[in-house]
Amino acid sequence: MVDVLGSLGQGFAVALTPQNLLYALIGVTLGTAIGVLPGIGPALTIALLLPVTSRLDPTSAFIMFSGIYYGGMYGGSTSSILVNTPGETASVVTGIEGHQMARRGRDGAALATAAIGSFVAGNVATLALVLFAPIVVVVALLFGPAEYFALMVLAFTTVTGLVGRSVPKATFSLFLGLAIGLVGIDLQTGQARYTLGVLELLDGIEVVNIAVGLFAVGEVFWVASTIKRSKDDVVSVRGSVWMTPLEWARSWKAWLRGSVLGFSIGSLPAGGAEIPTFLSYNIEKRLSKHKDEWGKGAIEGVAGPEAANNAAAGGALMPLLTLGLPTSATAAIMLVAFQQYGLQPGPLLFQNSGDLVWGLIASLYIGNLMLLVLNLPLIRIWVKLLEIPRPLLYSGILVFATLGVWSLSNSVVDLVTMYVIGVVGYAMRRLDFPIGPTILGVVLGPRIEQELRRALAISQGDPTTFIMRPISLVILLVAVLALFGPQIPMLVSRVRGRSGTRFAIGDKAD
Amino acid sequence: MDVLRGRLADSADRLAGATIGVFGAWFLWQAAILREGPGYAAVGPRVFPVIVGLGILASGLALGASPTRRPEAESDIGPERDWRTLAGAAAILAGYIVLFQPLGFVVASTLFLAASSWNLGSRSLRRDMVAGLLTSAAAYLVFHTSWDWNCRPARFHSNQPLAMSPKRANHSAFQWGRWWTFWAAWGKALPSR
Repeated sequence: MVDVLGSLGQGFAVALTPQNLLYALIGVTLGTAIGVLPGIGPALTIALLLPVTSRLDPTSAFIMFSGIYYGGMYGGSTSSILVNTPGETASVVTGIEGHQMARRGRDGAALATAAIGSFVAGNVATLALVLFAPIVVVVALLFGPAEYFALMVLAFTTVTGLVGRSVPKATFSLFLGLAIGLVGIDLQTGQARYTLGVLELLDGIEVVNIAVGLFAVGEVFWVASTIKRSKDDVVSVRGSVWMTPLEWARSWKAWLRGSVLGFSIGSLPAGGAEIPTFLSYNIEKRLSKHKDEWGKGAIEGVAGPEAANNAAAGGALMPLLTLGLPTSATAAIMLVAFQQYGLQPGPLLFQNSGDLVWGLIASLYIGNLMLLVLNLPLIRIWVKLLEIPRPLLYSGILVFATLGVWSLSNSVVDLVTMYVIGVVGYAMRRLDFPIGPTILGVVLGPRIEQELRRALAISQGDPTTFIMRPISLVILLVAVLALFGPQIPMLVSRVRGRSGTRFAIGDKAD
Repeated sequence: MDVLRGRLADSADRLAGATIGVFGAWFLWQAAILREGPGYAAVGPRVFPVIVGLGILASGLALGASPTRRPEAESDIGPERDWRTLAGAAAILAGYIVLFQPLGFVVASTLFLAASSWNLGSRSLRRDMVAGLLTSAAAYLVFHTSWDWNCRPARFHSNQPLAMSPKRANHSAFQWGRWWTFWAAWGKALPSR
């Protein structure tokens, strides 16, 4: 324990240097801005910044990236409360009650409970990270290639089993990512795979191009197909951004419940921020003493999910830092950033780059404080961003994205790849395929293949190694459960001869 | 009407399932014709692609066999999309990519932003042109300067050679003098490496 406090103290020494404070400020400001703006999220932003930050000190870069991640979560709530289009997927639930509150003139309270809830959750999550990460590190030191392989299988099955409504669709999204990750030269044998004879593809497809294609180009196409038929219902901030004592009393328990829920699910090797927000919404609705207000702007419905998504963002840092296992699109891009600096997140990162890890964790406290200031007294500045005309905004995003891709290698092939992936991204969006698993597959694909090969090399080609090692076996069993667990109620009712519905989180917020 | 929409969503899913199936089959075929190469490996370069190919094939077949209905909330705009605006967006972006190099990114980006905004419904062309110019200037500032200007200031005064990152060997530290490249980019391509 003293050990941890010492490390954290050292972390604060790193995070409080003027340079790192500046990068934290840049990060949270940028994060809030892109969180408020629809159509652009932390994953895309960090992906675009990867090439330009390649020469930055890694600690500063990660302090900035996590500021963007957290800031995106704060900012996302603003647009989902004031406009009916949420800025981030993790803020979708916030908008259900939040926008209703705004329309009834309680926008100030909704924004305040979201910002303060995010602050509470951010601190709870960081505290939990400090307490639990060293324990996970000790366990993770026991892991070999077989266990890492099993962990990634678990991550994949939970992602496909829990995201969206259709398992086949989520499965395809994941395998599409794995397929894209296979393009290029096989490092172990030097064999070119899926390069279609294009020279530029030998190096593989940069994750920046994929993120830009799926998130920016696909999004703009989607917007183009709907923009003239949809209307944004923007509510401007009227009163002061604060809460009445009654609203405080109704909010604080929801914040704490949301924080615990968000961190515990977010920190699992397959969490993500969307699931805890839906769960938090449902729990708050069930526990609420003001049931008649639900659907008309119940403050708990903003406080809980908003705390949950921030805590989940903090939670996602745990598997990322301790196991090198990303659980969200943003965390996946951050893993790529680690690789760019030649760092491999995992238990050894805590030993070899203690300054970086603890500096990053300490900066989360500082970033949260900055975000509270940015999102309470300064909220009106961010609301101004919502006044940017949509056509200009989306066109501008594409200009930035295209130049970002271009600056990577000055190659037209990259731009064409981005375009093609964008078309695929639009088709996926149109047909209701989730995009998160694709990014996860792209980033983890090469790694899972590597661990598979290592494990089999160690066992001399014996595939039973995965089920003969106890830790690996347990993880794989959980993975199978995660994949088929949600189907069990349906199977049971089908056996009984009744029609059942598959349990899926996010199906209907009820 | 709702029944019709449901059917449309069904057939779209079946079509998607079939397309995915074909893609999976192609992927497997490509895996099958991969040469194992002379190097020894316990697991060759073919194994993982085969697993991925089978996964794609299986997900396509499963989707084709049991299409999912989308909830009504998502189809409130109706099954018919604004195809004209979408086609416009696709064409304008393609034009941007084609003209990116010959026109230089400042001109290309300004034209793109104006055209794209017009396509998406904006009707103030002059404002959009100005915005295009500002956006491309901002994007240039972000992407064509290295971000370490306040981190190692000593570099600006010393004669030691700048450390080169392997990926972007042509980028030196941020210097105001490099701004000429921005203005030089008018009418011609970015300085390539």
